[in-house]
Amino acid sequence: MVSLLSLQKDFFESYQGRSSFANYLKGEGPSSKHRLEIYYNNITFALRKALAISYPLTWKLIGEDCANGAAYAFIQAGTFLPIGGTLDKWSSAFPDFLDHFSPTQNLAYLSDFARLEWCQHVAYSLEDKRPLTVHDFKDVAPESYAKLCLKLHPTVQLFSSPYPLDQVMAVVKGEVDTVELDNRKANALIVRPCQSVNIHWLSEAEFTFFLFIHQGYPLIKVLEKMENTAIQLHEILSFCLQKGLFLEYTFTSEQEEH
Amino acid sequence: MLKTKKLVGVGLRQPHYTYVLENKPAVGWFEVHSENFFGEGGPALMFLEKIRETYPLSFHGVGLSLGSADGIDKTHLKILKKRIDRFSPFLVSEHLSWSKIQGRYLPDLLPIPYTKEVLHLFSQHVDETQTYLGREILIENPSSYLEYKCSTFSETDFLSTLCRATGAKILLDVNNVYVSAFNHGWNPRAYLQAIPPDLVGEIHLAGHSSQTFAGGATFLVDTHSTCVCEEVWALYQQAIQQGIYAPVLIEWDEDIPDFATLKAEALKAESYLPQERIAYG
Repeated sequence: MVSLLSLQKDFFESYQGRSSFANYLKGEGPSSKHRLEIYYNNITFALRKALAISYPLTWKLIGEDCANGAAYAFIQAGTFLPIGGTLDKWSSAFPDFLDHFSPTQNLAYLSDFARLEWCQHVAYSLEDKRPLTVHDFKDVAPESYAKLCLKLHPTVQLFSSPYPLDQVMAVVKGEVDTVELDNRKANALIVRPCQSVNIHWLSEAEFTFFLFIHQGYPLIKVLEKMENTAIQLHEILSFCLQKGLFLEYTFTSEQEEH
Repeated sequence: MLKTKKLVGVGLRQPHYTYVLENKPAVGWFEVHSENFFGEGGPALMFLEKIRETYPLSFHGVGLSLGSADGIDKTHLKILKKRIDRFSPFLVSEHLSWSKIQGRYLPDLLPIPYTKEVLHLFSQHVDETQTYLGREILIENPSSYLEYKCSTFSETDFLSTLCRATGAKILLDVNNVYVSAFNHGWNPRAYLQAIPPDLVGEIHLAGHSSQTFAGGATFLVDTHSTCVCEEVWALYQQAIQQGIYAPVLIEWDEDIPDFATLKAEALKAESYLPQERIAYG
């Protein structure tokens, strides 16, 4: 009697090219090989399609042929197969894989661009939460502003790269023709306050401000830490409220401040 | 909500969300792949929420892997229940297949051997699912490209016995019957005759394509990428003549055409039904 567990393990091994599965099948000869190939092709096709859905801009950046080649290599590596019955959260490891994918090594920024795109993909389906607006602060007394502890919207992700990803993004979107690979890094804040995922490109000082906020520091501490940095608090808070970057606020006690 | 419950529905895919919301096409209901709505939030759920205000929904799963030897994924089941509680679909279905083993998921509907042991295991998993969800599910006959030496049941006997034992219903995919029959040399008409009409809770109609390998071997592949072929329409008519009446779905997943093409297929499916069977409920 054939054990179902052994049969399924053997199929998995055969998909990875490590064993034959033909002994389980009715009929012999080349037909068995073709029958199995249909399943193997279906699996690989579904995984490739899932990657293309998660990384559409990366596909556009390097072209479909090259991107599909990277996808097949990623899938054939075998170590990145999905663990759950949905493919939406699969493939977070694809950017790391691109770091070592030799055909695209000349595109130094590619893996970071894919990481940025993964952040967008993740933000797309996180839980919906209403962001704070200026009206939510109408009862906050001005003398309490310093004690404000602001919580970023749960879809906010902060991503920094040594490459000018804003330029790369502009090329992909057809806004400019070429990427100027100067030595300027890119700082991005990704957020989905409502139904669209937005990327905000930040200065070094703005990015640091958000890192401190993300770490849970009250506003006064953030300002202390950034005292030598050119940042206009009024402007950045106004930007945050317009763009829906905060979820809630609390007040820190004086004890906590110290 | 639409006042008439038309028997024929259409598979809802992302390219048609906006069209459906803006035009409210006259189709009976929509079926979605449950896993496409497993995210915690975002536009997909928002669209589904709005579409649900007008149309009945059916949830069709592809990732629960009821045929896995090492059990079903409890996390998957938990999310499915949350989505069912939120959207109240009138049908919930899965496949007579497996796709997960030892924590690894292979995204295809892989065939199971039709043996007594596997029947017992599959029945346990259907029982577990129905108990957890608190409702009946439907099990779809798969398109298959291989048969196991160790199988001792025919697919129809296996499926009917499974459904009798668990109270589940059959999702009869007529295209899958045709595809599998072609690939294995079965008689598709005999296959349909072996399906007890009282067990059928839904019918699927779809298109397929063919693949020819070097050496000339040709197989039909269930690609859901074309119109329903004439042979499948003929089998569908046979099913109706046998007294198989259930909500009917037009499925299309690859090379998705404009909505008018899907609606034309739905109207064709409706045209074969006796007048008194066009609506349900």
